[in-house]
Amino acid sequence: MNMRIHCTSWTLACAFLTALTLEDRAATVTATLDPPEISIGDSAQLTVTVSGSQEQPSVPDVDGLDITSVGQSTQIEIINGSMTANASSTYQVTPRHDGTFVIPAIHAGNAASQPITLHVDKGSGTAATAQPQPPQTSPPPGGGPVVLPPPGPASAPPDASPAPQGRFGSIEVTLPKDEFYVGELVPVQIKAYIPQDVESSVTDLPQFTSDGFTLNSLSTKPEQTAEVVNGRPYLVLTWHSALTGVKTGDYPFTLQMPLTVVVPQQLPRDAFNDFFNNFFRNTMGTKKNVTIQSAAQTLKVLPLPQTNRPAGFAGAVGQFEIEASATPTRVNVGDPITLRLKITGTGNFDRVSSDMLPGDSHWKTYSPKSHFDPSDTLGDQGTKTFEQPIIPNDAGVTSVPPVSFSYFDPDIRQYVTRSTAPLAVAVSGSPANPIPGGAVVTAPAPPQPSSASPTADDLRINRLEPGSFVSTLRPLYLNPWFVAGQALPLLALLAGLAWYRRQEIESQPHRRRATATQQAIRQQIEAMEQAMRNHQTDAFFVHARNALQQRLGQQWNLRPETITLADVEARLGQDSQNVRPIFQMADQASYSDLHFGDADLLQWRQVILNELAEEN
Amino acid sequence: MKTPVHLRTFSTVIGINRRPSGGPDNSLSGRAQRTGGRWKISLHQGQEPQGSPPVAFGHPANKLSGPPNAIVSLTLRSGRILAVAAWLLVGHAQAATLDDANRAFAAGHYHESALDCQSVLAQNGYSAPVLFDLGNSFYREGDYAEAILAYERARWLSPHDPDIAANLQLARKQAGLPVPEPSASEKFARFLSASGWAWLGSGAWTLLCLSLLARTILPPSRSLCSFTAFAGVLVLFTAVAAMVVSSTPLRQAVVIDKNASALISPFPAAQAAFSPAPGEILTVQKIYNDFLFVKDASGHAGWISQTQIVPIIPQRDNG
Repeated sequence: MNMRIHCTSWTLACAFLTALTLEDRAATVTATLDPPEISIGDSAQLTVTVSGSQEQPSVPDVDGLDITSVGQSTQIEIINGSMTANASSTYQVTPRHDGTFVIPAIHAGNAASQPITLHVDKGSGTAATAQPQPPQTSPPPGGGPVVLPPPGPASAPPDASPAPQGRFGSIEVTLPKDEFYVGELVPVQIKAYIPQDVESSVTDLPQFTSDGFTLNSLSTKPEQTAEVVNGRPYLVLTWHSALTGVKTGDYPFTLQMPLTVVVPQQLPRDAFNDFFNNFFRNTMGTKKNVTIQSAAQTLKVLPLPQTNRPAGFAGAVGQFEIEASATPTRVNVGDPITLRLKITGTGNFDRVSSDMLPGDSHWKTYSPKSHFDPSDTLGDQGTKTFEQPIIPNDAGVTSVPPVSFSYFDPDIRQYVTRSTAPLAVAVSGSPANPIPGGAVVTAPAPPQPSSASPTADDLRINRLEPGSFVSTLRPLYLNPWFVAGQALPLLALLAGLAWYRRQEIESQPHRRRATATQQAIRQQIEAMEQAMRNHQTDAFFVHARNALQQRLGQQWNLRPETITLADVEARLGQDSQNVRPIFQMADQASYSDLHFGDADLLQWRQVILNELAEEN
Repeated sequence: MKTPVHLRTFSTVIGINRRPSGGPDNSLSGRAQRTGGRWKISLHQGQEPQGSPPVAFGHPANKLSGPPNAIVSLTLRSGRILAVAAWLLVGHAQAATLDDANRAFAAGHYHESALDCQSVLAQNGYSAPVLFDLGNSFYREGDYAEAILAYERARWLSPHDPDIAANLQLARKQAGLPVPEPSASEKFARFLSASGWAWLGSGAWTLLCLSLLARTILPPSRSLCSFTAFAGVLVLFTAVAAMVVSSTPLRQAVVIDKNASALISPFPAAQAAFSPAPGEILTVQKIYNDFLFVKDASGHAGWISQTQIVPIIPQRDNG
């Protein structure tokens, strides 16, 4: 709410400053016609731009021209602190007859535009834009497309205000013809013209009001294009769909589409001048629900003729071609052959059906299955394929009989029956195990449980013992317990290897002793480093000597604690220059206090570690 | 409100113990009566006491009537005891029902035979011979789609059984379906069932681990252990490959509905994409609500209602 108030205040302030600034500027009025030359039936767009004035332009009446306002816009430019306001008004200019017309100077306050000239000829029209046509109630000669144009007024729902004529848009429906047969699929193009100068939103898809037709579902994402019609820009939503007549007779046809539009709110004249009125017109308004619709048009749904109706006709209307094939073509008696019928063309494929081949004494047949492959988005073109399993009952069969398909062609207004050629097949073997019921099964009935019950065949006999039961058909490897159980061998392998390594160590004394010595030296080094951190010089050297005793005891095969300084000097001789001081320091530490700095201890630590490594 | 559920279980038990007319009268039957908050359950061997109205559960053929021969009568306070009674009744009925199925089959009562086989399966779980007999009953009944489903399940449990393969082939022919020739890998994978391959693979894995351990612990037998480890690896890979090949039915379902139709989108009002034949096997690729996205052998794809097809390997078993 605060943001809204803030914006409104800012807008008012800007507008006020604009008004003050514009008072001192020279006003100009320009008028342009686009195009300057048109034909009868077309319209030109007149744009009048007023700069530097808040006055409304006054367009004079011109004999022979209808000039109607279609929109206004206001633009404010601030360049280097200099403010310029341009108010543009757009008018639709429609001539009533040919000739040359002069639109006099258009005044806005003290300013005026130059007169402009419009040339109107008798030609068929040069405008490249779509033009809504007047309503037609009969099909054009020669069977051309029927266009149901927008009716002009947009009808408002009962709870909404009525919309002015053509103000909020219109719907145009294009049909290839206005007379068609029951079941015939008729493509339809629906175009909704929504003015771009009106703020609006589409609330629903177009709906039609007629109980004589069905309309295929419309996409929620129609094609969107922009068009200018009679000088007015439109957003055009286009749907391509299809109509199907379901009942015979004459039916009115109207399409409606609900919209929500923002209707500009007129401000009181005594509160603001016209400039402010125009300025706020496009920013303030109320939402209204309106409905745009196409012109009411009567469409005729014709009944399919009763005469000459083929027996196999199932309601297909359109133009179709058929093609049949059979695979395999070399089989034994009792082996299935797939008979395939492809129906390609344009029409109501939902009514395209075929019983295919009926069963007889030579063939056992089953109900066909089908699938449709559309070649367009409407679904009225494509190929429908029927597949029927057929089984030869005897070896005398040499071909698959022809398959027929009947449809009604609305163009020639006649029924058409197409048949395939017989398909050659080679059937070998004798009917040692005739297919039960094969001669009596007829399409399209599926195999019947009782009437087609097999009585003589190669069915293997029942088992008398139930065998072993399982609680589930799901395979063992999907059972979580089974999967988890596969970890057991791996765990057993790892445990066995660990056990073996331990046994191996314990079974070799020298390796066990070496391991113990190494562990003791590691402990002494840790104690030595702990003493170093605690600045305990005496403890440092005692642990250092102990570590060396462990190492030397292992080498000399003596108990470590029995090795003294004298043993070191006697056994190492000249090589004891690094070990001897450590023993000395340790002995000295036992009887007096020693204090070394951290740097000294670090140096001694390195010496000791080197000696331990060398002795190893 | 637990009691009605148990009562339904009980009624199922009674349904499977019905006897074909003219058969020996050693069947078990029962009835349930509610008085106030208590349920009274009466179990009978032979026919029900005279004067009592016949009790029907499920199928209309399950009506029980005749002279009294009650062997047990229980007054139960809770649904739990009722369930125990039902379980006991099932235990008594197991051995006789498969015989019943075969007897009904021999007499030409295929529908009855199929119901008996289904009862055996419902009570005991799945068995290849019972599924085979069930397939035969459906086949004779002319319901080839159900027969194909039963044979496929029987073959899943016993893939190397030639009788199951032969009858399945016969049913497919009768249903107008092509009979595909299995590939070499499929033939090899059918040497064992999926669970059989799983056991073999598990054994090979165990052998591999033990061989590696023995190879370390017993240096004199190192070459022998290396050989067994190699054999374990070989068998393990073979078993895994066979499991992969034989796992196809896990994603397959059989069309049961004669009017089945696969749609272009998973909504009932959608346009039909293709119409699979009853008994046709479809590969299920994904699920959306009550619809399954399936493909047939020709590559046609579409959404089909779960009510129109039955998976060969059920996701849940009632065991």
